[in-house]
Amino acid sequence: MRIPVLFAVFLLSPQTLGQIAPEVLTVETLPEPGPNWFLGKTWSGGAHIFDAHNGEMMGMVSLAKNAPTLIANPDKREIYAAESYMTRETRGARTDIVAIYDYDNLRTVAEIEVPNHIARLPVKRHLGLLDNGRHLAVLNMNPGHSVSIVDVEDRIFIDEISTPSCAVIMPVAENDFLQVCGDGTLQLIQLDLSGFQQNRERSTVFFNVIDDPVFDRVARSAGGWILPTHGGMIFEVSTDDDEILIGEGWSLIAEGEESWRPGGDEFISAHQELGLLYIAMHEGGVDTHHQYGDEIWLFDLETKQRLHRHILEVPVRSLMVTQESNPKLIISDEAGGTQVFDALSFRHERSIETPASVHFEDF
Amino acid sequence: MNLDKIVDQTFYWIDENARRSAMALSQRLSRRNFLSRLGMLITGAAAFPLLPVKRAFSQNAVKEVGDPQSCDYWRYCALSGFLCTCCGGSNTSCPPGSQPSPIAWVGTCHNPADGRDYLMSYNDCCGKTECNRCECHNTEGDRPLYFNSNSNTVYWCFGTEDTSYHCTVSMVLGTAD
Amino acid sequence: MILLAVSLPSFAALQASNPRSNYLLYCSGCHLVDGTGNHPNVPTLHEELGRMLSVPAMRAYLVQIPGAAQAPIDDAALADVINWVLRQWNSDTLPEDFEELTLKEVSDARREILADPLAYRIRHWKAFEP
Repeated sequence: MRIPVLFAVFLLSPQTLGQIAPEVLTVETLPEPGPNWFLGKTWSGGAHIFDAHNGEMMGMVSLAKNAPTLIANPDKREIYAAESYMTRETRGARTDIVAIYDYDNLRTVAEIEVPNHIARLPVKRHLGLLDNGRHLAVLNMNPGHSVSIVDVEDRIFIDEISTPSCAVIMPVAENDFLQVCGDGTLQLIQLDLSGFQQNRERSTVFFNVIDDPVFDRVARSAGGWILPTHGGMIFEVSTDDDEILIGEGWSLIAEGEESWRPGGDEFISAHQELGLLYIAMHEGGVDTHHQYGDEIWLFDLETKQRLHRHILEVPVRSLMVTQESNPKLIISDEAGGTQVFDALSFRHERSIETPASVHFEDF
Repeated sequence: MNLDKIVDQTFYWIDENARRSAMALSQRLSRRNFLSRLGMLITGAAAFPLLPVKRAFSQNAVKEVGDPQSCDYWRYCALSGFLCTCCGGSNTSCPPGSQPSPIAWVGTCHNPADGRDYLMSYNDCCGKTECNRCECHNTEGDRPLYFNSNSNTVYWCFGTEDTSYHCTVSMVLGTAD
Repeated sequence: MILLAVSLPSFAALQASNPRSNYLLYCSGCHLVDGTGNHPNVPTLHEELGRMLSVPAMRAYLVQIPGAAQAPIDDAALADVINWVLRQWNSDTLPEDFEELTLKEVSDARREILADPLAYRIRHWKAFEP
């Protein structure tokens, strides 16, 4: 019809257009991270930064397809990631790096080349920032195990430490880290100020890798580290200078609950200050340790009592409790969704539908 | 008039023309014909295609039942990854263009067809994007990655030119007794 | 080396009945079915081990390297596998006066954990060749 067209033309006349200025494209700077922000590490698509309060994505740390995990360092406002690249993505010369990203722009501010055999599956404890904030430890497999040390302050590669049959990087003290070994012991590597190995210790044998192995998934506690076994035992470990301290094992499984076992991907997390342990459990027999959890059990680390048993609608793959006074429990489920719970009341607060996260890191 | 711009444009035109004449198809066609004729001479000697030699199992072939493209197949009791049988390969061959990893982990699986236990070698085929078909997560005897003689929490692409993971095979190494 | 009281689990279920099968199960994954390994990241088991045993301190090394010590087989089976590897692939390079590893020798060595095998090898023998 003619009249509407004329009307429309009138609206779009140059005179009208002249009053609306075209919009200008700018770039956000990442806001100052608030409490209950977290990183969701995807399988091969980098890490997304979320605010658990409103479920909004705040930005992305874009990583190589093969990057086991990343660690935020709030003191330096930097994020460290171990990444593996090939010149033609799946073929060509391989270069492995530790990349340093800045908070504001989530862009690389430095790259440090490391020996090109980092362990590449997404596993949280393939990477560890020592408590001095200077030395970053990267697990390698070639197929024997070793650890590369990078100084992230001076931004240089320090050394590769041979650690056959030991893995899982658990920073302790200022400049040391523990590992779990296949002979049923813990290994302590102590570094000197420069980051070179100064001392190496082994603990007594406290588990059997065939009968009931300690998982390669662990949780940080206020005083050290919490190690679960396939059969549901918990060992709390720490160090006192060169001495490795292993607490007496206690079982998650009460009488009558013998069909339950821990399992999943990163299925264990602890709130350090409140002394609370969150762990995903399923019913299954031997060798079901990768099975996603149908329930999350909450334990008081002091009394070793179970406080709560939360039944999930969708099985859980990985979980993380944030270290806030008002903590959130972040869950990645089998359907690929991310669920945010109040960590104390277990009230479900929100769902974040995409993307699917393999595990979470603090931010 | 901007003289620099005219000069630049002139040189661009000259370079462009030089490139065009150097790379003219007529130039390349004659060279290509020569090479293809040379190629025919070389392969002419072996006029029949060379078939891959199948490594014969030292005893009789293993009796098997079931679907080799199903995660429940007896060979896959500890296989975590994509089945090469769904990706253009088989349990003893990698898909075209991928690289067999010589290094693997060896487990034991029970064969219901003859009631025996067999040693299975889970080798990865590498150098391509993930196949993304027939994903299985079986974990019999699987242990954490610090015990690498029996671990699925590892990409087993070692000793290949390219270490990107494509799919996993399951080869019989022998009987387990 | 660290001297520890190591309690070894029972291995009956996981142990094959002969050294070749135990080799296939617990060694061949990295060192390959033919023992040639994958230079430079996985050592070959051919010839080099025989030469290594010219240094007495390296006898315990063959037992204590994690791949050997942690194989879920008992001391007798481990002794059999190591001696089998030496006979199969090192008969030309073993010392003239070589005597096979004894059960007692293997048991004693296995009770001590070798925490830094690379350092030990460099100290008593030599570094890996690139």
